Amino acid sequence: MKQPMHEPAAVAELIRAGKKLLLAGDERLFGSLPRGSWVGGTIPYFMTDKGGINTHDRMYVTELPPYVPEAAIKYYDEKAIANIFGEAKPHGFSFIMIPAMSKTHVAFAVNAPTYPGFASRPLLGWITGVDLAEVGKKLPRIFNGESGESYSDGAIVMHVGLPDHKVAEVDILNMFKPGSGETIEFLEDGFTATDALIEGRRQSFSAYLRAKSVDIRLPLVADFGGAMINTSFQGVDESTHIVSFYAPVFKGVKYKIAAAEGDYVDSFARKMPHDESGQLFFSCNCILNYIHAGLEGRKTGAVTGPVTFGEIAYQLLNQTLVYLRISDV
Amino acid sequence: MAVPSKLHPIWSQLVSGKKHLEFESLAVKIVFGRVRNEIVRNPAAGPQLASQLHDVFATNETLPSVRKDLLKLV
Repeated sequence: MKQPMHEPAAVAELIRAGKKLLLAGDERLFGSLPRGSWVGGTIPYFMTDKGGINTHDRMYVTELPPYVPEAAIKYYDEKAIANIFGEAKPHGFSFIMIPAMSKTHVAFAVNAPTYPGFASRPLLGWITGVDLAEVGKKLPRIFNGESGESYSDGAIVMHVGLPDHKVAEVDILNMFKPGSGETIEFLEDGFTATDALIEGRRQSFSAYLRAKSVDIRLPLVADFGGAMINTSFQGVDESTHIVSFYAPVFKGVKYKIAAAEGDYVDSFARKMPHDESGQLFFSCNCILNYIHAGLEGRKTGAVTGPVTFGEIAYQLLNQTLVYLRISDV
Repeated sequence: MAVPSKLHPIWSQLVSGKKHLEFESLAVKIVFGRVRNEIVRNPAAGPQLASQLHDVFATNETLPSVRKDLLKLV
């Protein structure tokens, strides 16, 4: 991956030169950008080749390769987002950004797997956010560079077509694996749970977490056909006994509390596929990994990108690195 | 290798758990995991779930990982 951190003036030059761009940065920086073929989302945290940083002065820029023949930008609201797979280019990928805590964030999290044509075309992206010191004071936003509009709800999508000799593939790297503890199931789909089935026996989930001294920095992990999918804990309200999550849990899915695999950066270096041929086009990682693994100032090799309030690989993910490779057919 | 037709028994065998394969494609893994969960919740949905599994192969068959997964099917 090329050095992608730029000041807004340099980003504006790229836009004026007709480059197709995926942008991430502080909200203030988008105000000076000209219209063009770009989409953007707010976040001030990044993994760079010099390590994890928090900056309000520079933007993370992903430039589409010159061989990309077409990139169509489209805004979706919380209902229209159901059409996203059907409107993707027949050969290419779609890149999506959704503001955290918006109605569309919730709708996508719960419903994406039921959208027509789910997973029929590569879809990746991220949930936009704000500085953690500004949560509750500022809203995460998304930007349509073509129209100049910005939104605190909805989704901005770039549907990217590829030439026949190129193919794009989305994958994930999950540093957590299911632990050896009890199997947990939930009674209904949702972002919160009061009771759960622990090894088939219904009990208070918050009482279970307390009794087992569960470290809720570790996510729940479910095995989806061999893909380990995390659901992160947001918190436990001891007065109402409600446990909340950053993504929905689903009825009938068997979860385990995750087991961590030692130091994040060491595990990352072992597990992340090398990119000797320069196929890695984009990646993003989770703010919870950034915080819990202490990634500020630490390097994750050549794998860089925005640090996000949720990751998207076909569906919403938590505490997961998402990446896209573009290779020759 | 071409994607087996929707009527091929491999799809219902995978949905029911009579045949288990480990896949490489993230799209296939996620859809396979979901249809395996759904068949427990709704056993009558077998044909519809088999069709969904076929479709994720058919629409992604140019992806390198899906090509490898196709070789495992039959």
